[in-house]
Amino acid sequence: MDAYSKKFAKKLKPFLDDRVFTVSEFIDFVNGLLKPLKICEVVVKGEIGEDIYINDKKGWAILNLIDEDGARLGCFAASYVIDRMGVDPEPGLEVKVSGYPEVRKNKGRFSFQVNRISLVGEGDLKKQFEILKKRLKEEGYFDPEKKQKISRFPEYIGLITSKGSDAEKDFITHLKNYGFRVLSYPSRVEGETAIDDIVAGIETFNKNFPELEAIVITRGGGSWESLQAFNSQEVVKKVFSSKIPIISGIGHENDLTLLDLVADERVSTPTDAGKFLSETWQEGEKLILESEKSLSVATGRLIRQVEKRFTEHAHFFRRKIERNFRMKEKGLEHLFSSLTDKIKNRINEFYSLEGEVKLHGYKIRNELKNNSEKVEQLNKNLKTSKIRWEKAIKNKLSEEEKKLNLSNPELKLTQGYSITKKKGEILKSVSDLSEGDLIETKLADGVAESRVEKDD
Amino acid sequence: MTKKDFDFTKAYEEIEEINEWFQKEEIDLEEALSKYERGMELIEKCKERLKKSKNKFEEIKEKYEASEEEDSS
Repeated sequence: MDAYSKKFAKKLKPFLDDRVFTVSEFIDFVNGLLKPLKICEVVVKGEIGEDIYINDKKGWAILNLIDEDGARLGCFAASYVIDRMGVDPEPGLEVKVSGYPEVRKNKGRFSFQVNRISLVGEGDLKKQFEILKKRLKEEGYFDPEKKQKISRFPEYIGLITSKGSDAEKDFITHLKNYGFRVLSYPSRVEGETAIDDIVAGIETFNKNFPELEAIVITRGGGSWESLQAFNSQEVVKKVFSSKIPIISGIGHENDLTLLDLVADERVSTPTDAGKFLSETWQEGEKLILESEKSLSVATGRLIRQVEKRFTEHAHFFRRKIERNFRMKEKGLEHLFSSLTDKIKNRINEFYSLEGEVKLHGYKIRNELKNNSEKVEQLNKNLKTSKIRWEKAIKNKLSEEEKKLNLSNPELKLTQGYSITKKKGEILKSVSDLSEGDLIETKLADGVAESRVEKDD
Repeated sequence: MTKKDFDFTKAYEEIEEINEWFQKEEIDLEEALSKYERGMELIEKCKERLKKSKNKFEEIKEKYEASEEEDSS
């Protein structure tokens, strides 16, 4: 260090020779000398001293760092720096401050500008961790319902890890070839400075690659102290506000880091992070192949079911139709049989009538037969009677003829009698005659006409 | 390297839905056939996507840091 100072002094000397500064110029000059420390950032370790002054209104705090030798470093910190520490600063607390020294122009005091305070010593770290964890939990940072869902088959991934590290190799090795597109944001993963890188990585991805489906933050295992970046409040808040889901893959043995608690998904190691992303794809690939089979099987089964149902329906309808036919047939049979019965009855009636008729016919024939004999007898009798009667009548007739012949007037004429008629009328008295009357006198052999000449 | 040309997740979920649909007791044959065709089409696409599956890696930090610095200067 002395050698460096001598060398540096040599360079400065020409600049300082015969130079007189104003107070202001001098303080600026000294601060200029200190500037490399500002650019690099310095970490100083010590114990918090008794006098702590926090100005909540103005948002800053003043505290002293002391050590066993009684040395004292005045520190100036913004309130948010104190807040980020996660625990309230207390005298005796062993801390590390990172920042830079400068001379406060208005106070003329040398002061250490603190960018970050963190606890030192495992006991204190644990204490800080538990307090911060409790507070963040109460504020809802770890609520399961606030976790974002990672797409089932993420392919566009952001990676925040140490470049060329085993963690990076393990992650990439176990990320199976499923067409992942990985954007890598190399980051420090150890110590306080890792916080800035991790926060910047999350910011860059969200700002420039919002279509990323997940951001993996990963590193291999390490001591509790080495993992402090993943227990920082800044990282937790940045992860919580990320629009892209975050997967933590921090190798550790016991307690989870705060990153694990706030992350949307957590796995144990970089290897597991690679496997986690590949697993869903493997399952998906399996299901796709299974689906191909099961869809064909299901469709085939369905077609068979439909065929079966179709056959069943066909059977059912056939049975129904057959039953209907049978019923109709039965009906017809009934009809036929009743018709047949009726016809039979009629025929029977007919037969009985016929029988009766036959019976009567027989009687009639008998009657006829019997009667014909009688008729014949009668006929015979009649014939006999006729002959007898004819004779009798003939005799009678000839007798009567004779009698008649005797009384015939014509016969009298032959005996000399005559018949006189006037105007066709037979004359029986002379009084019926008048002079001049024309009369006819019938004689036996003819008629003579004469006129009455004298009337007496 | 921005937009996806094929949404595997969406296709996969549709395949799952189709698989589930086929588990129903009452299935309409015509619908089943159209779902079968759709399922097979998606399966083919998914298989195609799984085939061309080499991972790609790209490092971005320097590029963006540089551009951010340019922005601020």
